[in-house]
Amino acid sequence: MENVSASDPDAILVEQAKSGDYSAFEQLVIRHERRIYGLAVSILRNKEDAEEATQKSFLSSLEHLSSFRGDSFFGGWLSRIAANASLEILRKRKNHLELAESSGDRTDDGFPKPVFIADWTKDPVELAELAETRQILDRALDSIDAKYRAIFVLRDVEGMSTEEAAAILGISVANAKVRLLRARLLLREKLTVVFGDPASRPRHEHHHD
Amino acid sequence: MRKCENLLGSLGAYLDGELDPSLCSEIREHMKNCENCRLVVDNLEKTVRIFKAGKPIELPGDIRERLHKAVSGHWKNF
Repeated sequence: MENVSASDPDAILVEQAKSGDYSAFEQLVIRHERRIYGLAVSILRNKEDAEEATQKSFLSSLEHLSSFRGDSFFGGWLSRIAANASLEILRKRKNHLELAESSGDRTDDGFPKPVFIADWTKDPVELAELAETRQILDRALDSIDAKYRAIFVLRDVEGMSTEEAAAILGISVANAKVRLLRARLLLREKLTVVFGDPASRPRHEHHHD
Repeated sequence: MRKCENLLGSLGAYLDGELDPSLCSEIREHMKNCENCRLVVDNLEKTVRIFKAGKPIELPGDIRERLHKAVSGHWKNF
């Protein structure tokens, strides 16, 4: 057996697929298709582009299967392919309308100042179960610029390291960290308006120093 | 307010446990007396968690079908 990561749950299927077993590869597609499509649609925000990215990702993984050595998990390798495929489509978009940088107040170092601050009434895991939450999350993603969406999806949703995400995005690690915080702050604002309890808003401007 | 603004840029690193200990304790001390900042940090942590916990996006049946067709078609070429 080649150098395949022992704890990768896909290891056996990958080996079988490499040996020419199509049903094994099909199983891999079935295991990851929803997640990969989800990654693409989160970044690209439309079905047609997400479909294109998803197809490209799986076809690419097929084409390069022989060179996949198991240094990482198959799923992670696939995620990186999908992230790159999505970003390529993003870059190619004609009339790439970048959302105007939020007109909201920014700190001196360019971070969006929180405006609506309140305590969320429920635990996120509970909220995630509600039927309307997916739509709320989607709308929040729609409201932020693609470059913030991309870093947020790769880091906070896909769980990639900052180094990995920065490499895929073609930016420095420092830049990736700044973008990620901006993305998180922008999303915080949108979600807190929905999930925050207005009664819990701090009453007054605090005056310490 | 000034203090809150100055600390805002460090909150990402704070949440990810990447902040040096002295700045970390500075933020913790500040949050003891600042409800706004305490809530913002809490909100940020919950924002990340809700996306992680969010239900997987639906993969439409027709897209899935076309995907499998494309893959099996491509496989034959290998």
